[in-house]
Amino acid sequence: MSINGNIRSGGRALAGFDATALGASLMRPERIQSTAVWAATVLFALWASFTIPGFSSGANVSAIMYSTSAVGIAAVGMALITLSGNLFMLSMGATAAVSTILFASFLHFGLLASVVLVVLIGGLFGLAQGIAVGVFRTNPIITTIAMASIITGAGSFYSGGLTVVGQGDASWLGVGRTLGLPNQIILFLLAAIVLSFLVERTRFGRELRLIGLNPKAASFTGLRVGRTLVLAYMLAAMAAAFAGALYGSQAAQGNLKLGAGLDFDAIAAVLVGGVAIKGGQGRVLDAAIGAVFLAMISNILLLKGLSLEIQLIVKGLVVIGSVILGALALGFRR
Amino acid sequence: MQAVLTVTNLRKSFGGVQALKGIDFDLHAGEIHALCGENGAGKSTLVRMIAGLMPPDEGEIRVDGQLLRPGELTDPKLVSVVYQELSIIPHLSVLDNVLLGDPDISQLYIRARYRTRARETLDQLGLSDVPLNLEAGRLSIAEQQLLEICRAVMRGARVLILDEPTASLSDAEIQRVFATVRWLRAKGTAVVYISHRLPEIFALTDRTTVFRNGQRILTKPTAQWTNDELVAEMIGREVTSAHATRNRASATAATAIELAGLGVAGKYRPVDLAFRAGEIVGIIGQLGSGANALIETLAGLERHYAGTIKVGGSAVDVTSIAAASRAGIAYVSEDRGGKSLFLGAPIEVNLTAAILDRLNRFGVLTLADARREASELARRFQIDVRRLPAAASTLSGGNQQKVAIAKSVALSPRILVLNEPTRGVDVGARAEIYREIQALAREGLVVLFFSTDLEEIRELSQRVITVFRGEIVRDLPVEETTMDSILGDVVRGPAIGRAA
Repeated sequence: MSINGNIRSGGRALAGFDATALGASLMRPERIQSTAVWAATVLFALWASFTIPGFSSGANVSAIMYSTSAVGIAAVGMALITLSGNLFMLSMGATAAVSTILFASFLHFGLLASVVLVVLIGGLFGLAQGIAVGVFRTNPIITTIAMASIITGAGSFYSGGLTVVGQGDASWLGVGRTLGLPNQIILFLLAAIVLSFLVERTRFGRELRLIGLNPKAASFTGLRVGRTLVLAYMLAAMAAAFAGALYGSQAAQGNLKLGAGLDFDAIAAVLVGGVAIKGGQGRVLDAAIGAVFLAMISNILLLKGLSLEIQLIVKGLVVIGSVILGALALGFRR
Repeated sequence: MQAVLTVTNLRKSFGGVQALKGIDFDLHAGEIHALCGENGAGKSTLVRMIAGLMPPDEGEIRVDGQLLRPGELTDPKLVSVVYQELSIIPHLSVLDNVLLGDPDISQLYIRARYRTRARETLDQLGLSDVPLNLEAGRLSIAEQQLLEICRAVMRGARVLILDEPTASLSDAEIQRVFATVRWLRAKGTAVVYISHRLPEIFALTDRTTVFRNGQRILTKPTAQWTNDELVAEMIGREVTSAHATRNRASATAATAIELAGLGVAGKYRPVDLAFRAGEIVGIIGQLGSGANALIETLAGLERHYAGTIKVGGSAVDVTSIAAASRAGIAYVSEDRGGKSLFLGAPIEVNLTAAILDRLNRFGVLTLADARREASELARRFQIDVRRLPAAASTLSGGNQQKVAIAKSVALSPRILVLNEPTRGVDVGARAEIYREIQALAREGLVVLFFSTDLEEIRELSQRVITVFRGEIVRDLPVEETTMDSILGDVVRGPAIGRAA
């Protein structure tokens, strides 16, 4: 529970801290799901490390971290879109896939330059979608699906459908470690902290949340709706592109098949973490813990010897279960 | 006569506000029964419960002796309601709209079966020149209103409730509605007729019931009421003395805002008006009269307007909400939950939502400043400071309205524009809001408000502007107006208004 307490106090910066309200606020209907996921993550981890041989081994923990990182980065980006009341960005998988190719073909400029270029190009994809949704008020689902098609098309045109092998060393990002932790998980944590700070402590974040809660009131209040949404879409697409760079770095090569399924994985993390689909409620860190939770569940199933098919089914069930839980919790509010 | 509808001891509260305080009411077969009362008197709450749209807290409703199950939609064969807001679906045909929601329609929906009956009913309502296959969206507003009534008639309900059915109709069209209602009465239907237009009530109805503050005050045969008596019961005698403490803008105060030839095509004709610092001006007109469009123009909601607006002597642009706010005009919309507040966000976040531009340093929120601003606003508007971190949805309607006004006042505007400042607010909170608005005016703010509530116009304004069909009828100090003169102006326009 101490982990919960820390997170709460971070978030309470929005609304003033009150020690007696802490326990109650963890159980508030709109927070109950994320509280449950935080608790479940800790409990599953404890249970698995005592009962499943090999779960707590160094190699397995690092495997969980690697499978969390890229999805987690995409999920914290996705959380911005969900918080803004625009449901999901369904071009994340395509953006990540194309980014693996771009990453590999830019790698000869050096690792850092390649990552920066990839993320900037991702930002351009996000800019286009943000302008469509935020300024021209197009439907966010249709817009991002269409964008996914454009991105994928452009990507296969560029790569000729082939695997692009990078000329350079991507091992710092792919397999490197700092103080024993994979660099990828450190980057995930940094992304989560930066986006969390943006949402909880900046004017952009406040406006984003208010737009998600009530877009009409946001424009009547004179908030910068278009600009805020454009920025949110850019950040989300940049997160997807960064996730693509992480995929690409693992083998220093790019392929449109890498990153497939990222859309659903990121949505699953956002939903399981307890960010409300109708916008405005939830935290970036909730999506991050959702990603950790799902990676851990998959890992446990794997160690139990269950196949990938079963893992997919369980992942789907967990998502549906969490959506039902969320709806029930909201129902109790009335 | 036999009672078709009986209501016994009906009670309903919304978050501590009693909307209905134990209503008993009965309706006879073959009568037209008028319900009168100011906005917020409880008429629409009663109608919504009879229609089964909301469950009562206490009490029961019987139609034809049959107890209505609380919270369940009432069978449209028993009770049909025509609401003030149109529920015509514009891209469906007239016939489809007439049949909409009829529980007897077969699963296959063979339209031919219903054509004859729909035709007859339309003819009865004087819509004989309207083809059944026409898209309903192409009808005039008045024809759509008649179509709504036609829909209710088709269902053959025992009780028909008409909520302001004539608000958007011309005199000739009103006569059609009257003829239909009388025809239904002859067939034994019980009709409830809700209207603010007193002459209609005297012309049409058999009995009249007055509601005030959630209570049924009196029911009498309409012939036994006089106009003055009815108005007096509607307003309640005790409130007429509330004007005593009114503060007046000094006649020498500088002109703060000037409108020259301000108009919006299709909504209202160009007007020339000037408002002095410290003035509280009420603007009243029926829906569609252009009165609310006028204040919405100032708020920045009418992108295409003609004429100029000068604030403090210099011309300003109000083509958007942001532009109006830069020009020193702050707006409080009529729809608290929909357009003003972020109900899911803490009260303090709501209070500071409009002033985020000065509550940040390089984009990072200065939370200490925000908290201080929010506490100041809360203290000023008598909102409990300890509740600031709670969601705005936890407040009562009156307190939510205070937050909505405080949020706009935070912008330190020179002109505060309010649309229906106390709609759905209980009497106590209403008085507090009036006091606060008066205090703001004393500080030199110009307050302009639109309201459809006569009592509010008379109680809050220093100056009253009446609007009829896009034109200003009169612009007078409140002392020179009466309830009747205002009502006459907004219902019948200049000619009859002056005769009165």
